[in-house]
Amino acid sequence: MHLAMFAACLVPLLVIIVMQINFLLPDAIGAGFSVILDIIGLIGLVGIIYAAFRRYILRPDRLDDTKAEDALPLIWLFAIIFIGFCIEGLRIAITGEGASTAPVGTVFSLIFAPLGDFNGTLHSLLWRVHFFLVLGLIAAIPYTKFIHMIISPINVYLRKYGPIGDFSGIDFETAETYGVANIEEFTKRQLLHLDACIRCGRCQDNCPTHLSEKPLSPKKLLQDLKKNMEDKAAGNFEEGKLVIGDVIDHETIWACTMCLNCTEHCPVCNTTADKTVELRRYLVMTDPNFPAEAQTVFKNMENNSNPWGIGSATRGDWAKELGVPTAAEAESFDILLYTGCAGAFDDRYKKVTIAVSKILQKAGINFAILGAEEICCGDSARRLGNEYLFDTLAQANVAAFDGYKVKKILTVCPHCLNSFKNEYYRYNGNYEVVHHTEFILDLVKSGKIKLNKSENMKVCYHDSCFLGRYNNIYEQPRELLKSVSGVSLVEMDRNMNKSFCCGAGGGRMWLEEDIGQRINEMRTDQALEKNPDTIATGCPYCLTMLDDGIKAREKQESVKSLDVAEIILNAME
Amino acid sequence: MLTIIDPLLVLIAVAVCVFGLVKRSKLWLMGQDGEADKTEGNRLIDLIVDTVIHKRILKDPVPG
Repeated sequence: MHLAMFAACLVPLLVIIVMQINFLLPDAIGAGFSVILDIIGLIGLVGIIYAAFRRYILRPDRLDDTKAEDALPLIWLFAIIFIGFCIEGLRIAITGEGASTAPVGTVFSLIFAPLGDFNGTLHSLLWRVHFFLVLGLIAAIPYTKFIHMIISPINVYLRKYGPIGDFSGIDFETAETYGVANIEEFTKRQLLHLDACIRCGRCQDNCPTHLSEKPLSPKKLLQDLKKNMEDKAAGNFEEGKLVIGDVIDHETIWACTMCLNCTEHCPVCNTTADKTVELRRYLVMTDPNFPAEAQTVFKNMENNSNPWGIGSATRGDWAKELGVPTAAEAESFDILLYTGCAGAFDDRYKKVTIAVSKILQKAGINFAILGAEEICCGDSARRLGNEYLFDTLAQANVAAFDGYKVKKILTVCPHCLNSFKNEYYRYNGNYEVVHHTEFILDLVKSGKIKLNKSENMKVCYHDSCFLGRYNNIYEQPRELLKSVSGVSLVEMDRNMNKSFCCGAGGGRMWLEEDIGQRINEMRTDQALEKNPDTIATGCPYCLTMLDDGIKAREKQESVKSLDVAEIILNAME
Repeated sequence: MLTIIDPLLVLIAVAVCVFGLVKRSKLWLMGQDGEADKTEGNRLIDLIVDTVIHKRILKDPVPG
């Protein structure tokens, strides 16, 4: 639909330009242009009619804020193309030439033929109308929805490169305030995003927060900020009012799971999580006003380097019976197994860490852990807006890694993976970082581990956002599962880059979910629709959320939630 | 078919457009300078792929 309208605008423009040098072109090429122009114009008309039909008749949820003025560009474009066909038809009717190269124009000429001599007058009149409509369109670009023809390409050109989920850092030595409270404190690129949003609604169509009936819609967030940008520039925003509270309410700011579904699906490369995190930074570090649960998590991370607040000295206890050496004990090691907070303290996920360790031991991998020296990667702190805490944890981690001359880190948590791989570069922490599903797949492919046991399982794999969209790891876990004899893999409707968040990202793991449906239960329902006996994942947060979802649906007798590593270990034994 | 004032009308239309765009750009320019991206991509090719060829838009077969 968009492509049809786009072509109907662009192609005539190109043809008009080329026709200025038509004396250099063979007749056949000119005739070819005429036919193409006619067909594309017709497709454009169909596209415009369908666009209007969707907006004003079908009214899908994603176009819930369609405004009356949105019809103007459609009517305008339709008029230009339609009158263009009328002019062509009149020309053919008057001169009797060009019918063979203008199929649509010929149809129009049949309509005008009975008008006889009046055709000349009508042709002149419509030509002027067509001309003024085109001029009017050019002049109206900055003041109507047509502006996206200019801003969208600029926005796409100036898109952010690098890790998709990384945010800007803060220089704590020079910064006076942290985060954003006023619209002009966003960066130029972030403000351009606001103007580039064309309200297509793909973001909210894929947003777990919006779909679970919470107050956040990425589209609405950008549009509200855009309105504030315009008001501020026009002097219509009262002095002393802030973005937070006066434009975007607190519930919206804390609702985002930072799953990046909005970023993934935005056609103009807009981002939303970066704006949310700036608002959270202000609420956490500059003018503290944030959920009490987050306060507890921050304190636990500060005091015990993990969100639960369990004594940090016990962090390596899970490994004692396995004989996994710590970096301090090992003479040398090739790989550091970074367990992460869940892998070290959460009883359910400790089983996954143990499974991964057993696989590594069976494959003869020379690895070590940091044990009690390991601290949280800081992912939740960062996404909850506590950049200072993240900064502290990251510096300490880099110091520990560098102290043991770590080159390669194996993580059992996608959040740790993402922090080390995509965010620690600011602290000169540059390591080869791999997730356990990637690493174990390599072990299977190289023959270092054999999957001898057949498992009769119908597995539904859930893509963790931090593994998939953040790090583009989609195929490896699936390939690993398929390598187990007897495993049949089924996909949820929302899979791969359209995967639905479990609800725990963006620090939401630690906050209450009081509004709307529970995201983890919605995701569990999506999995249960496929009748699996196992829901597999590769993330501790997802595993917890899916476990809870299965219990909420009272399906724990018939459906298990397992990490991919646990399935592999079972197939080895 | 063109009259003598038509080129002038074209210029006026373009001027109104440019004026509006410059005014609009002041909105974004009131923002702060951001930090540089960690990596750089091929902006021109990506622009063509995502706008002219519609790669990102066609991810969804029924765009908005």
